[in-house]
Amino acid sequence: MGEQPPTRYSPDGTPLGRTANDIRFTTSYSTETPRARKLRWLIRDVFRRPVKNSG
Amino acid sequence: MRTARPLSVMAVGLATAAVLGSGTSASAVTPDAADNPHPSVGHVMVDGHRVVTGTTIGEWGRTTKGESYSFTYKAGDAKPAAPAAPAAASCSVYISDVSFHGAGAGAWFQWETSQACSGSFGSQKLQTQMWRSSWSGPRGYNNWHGTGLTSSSFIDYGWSTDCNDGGGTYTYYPVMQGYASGIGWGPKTRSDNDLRKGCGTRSPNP
Repeated sequence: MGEQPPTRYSPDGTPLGRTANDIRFTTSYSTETPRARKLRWLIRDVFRRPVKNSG
Repeated sequence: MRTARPLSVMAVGLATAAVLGSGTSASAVTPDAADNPHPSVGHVMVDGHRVVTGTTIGEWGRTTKGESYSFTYKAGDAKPAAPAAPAAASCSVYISDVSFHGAGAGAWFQWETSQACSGSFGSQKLQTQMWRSSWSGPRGYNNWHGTGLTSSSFIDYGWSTDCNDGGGTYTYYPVMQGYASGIGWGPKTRSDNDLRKGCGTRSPNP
């Protein structure tokens, strides 16, 4: 018996039906986000360097 | 008109005193002859100053959160309350590791994205794209794909894009970006991992 192929998600997005409790969120942004962090994101954007999920 | 002159002098003095005394706000009084045909009829106290009833008073300043505001009212009327600080909103995003499935012309990349928002975020959505390495920096391997706007506090989607097998070897990773109407766009966030594959410069189903 071979391994079951994984369910393929749609290129346009497939709703997964999980809850927020199932997810370990990492990057946050808010109306309270310090200006220094927003500036760092802006500079990363200019150089096309995204924030890494773990940090 | 001679009777208006003392009022003008007083108005300037009051404006100056209010700027010095209010800290995060400022007030100015402007004589309004049309509204006050008889300025000597009555007086009220505004910010510790004696002012002719009916005089137009302007106040401007910043909230504790740095938002500008301004309003006008008539001396003797109730003074409008300065706006409170805007309600807070926050969102957190998650993007999974990217995985690679299948083989040859039938291979594809797959990943998951989520966003949870709280507070006065309004409505939210997210978008995602697969990126690949290039000598001039990362480039999009497919188009941006996104969810619709929703007032739900949580969105959770899985995504895929095909591999253009044999098109050249690059490093691939997905990125995502969350949006909330009360905050704006968040930072572009990428998966923890990336994959070195021979899938070329552009997805066959971008």
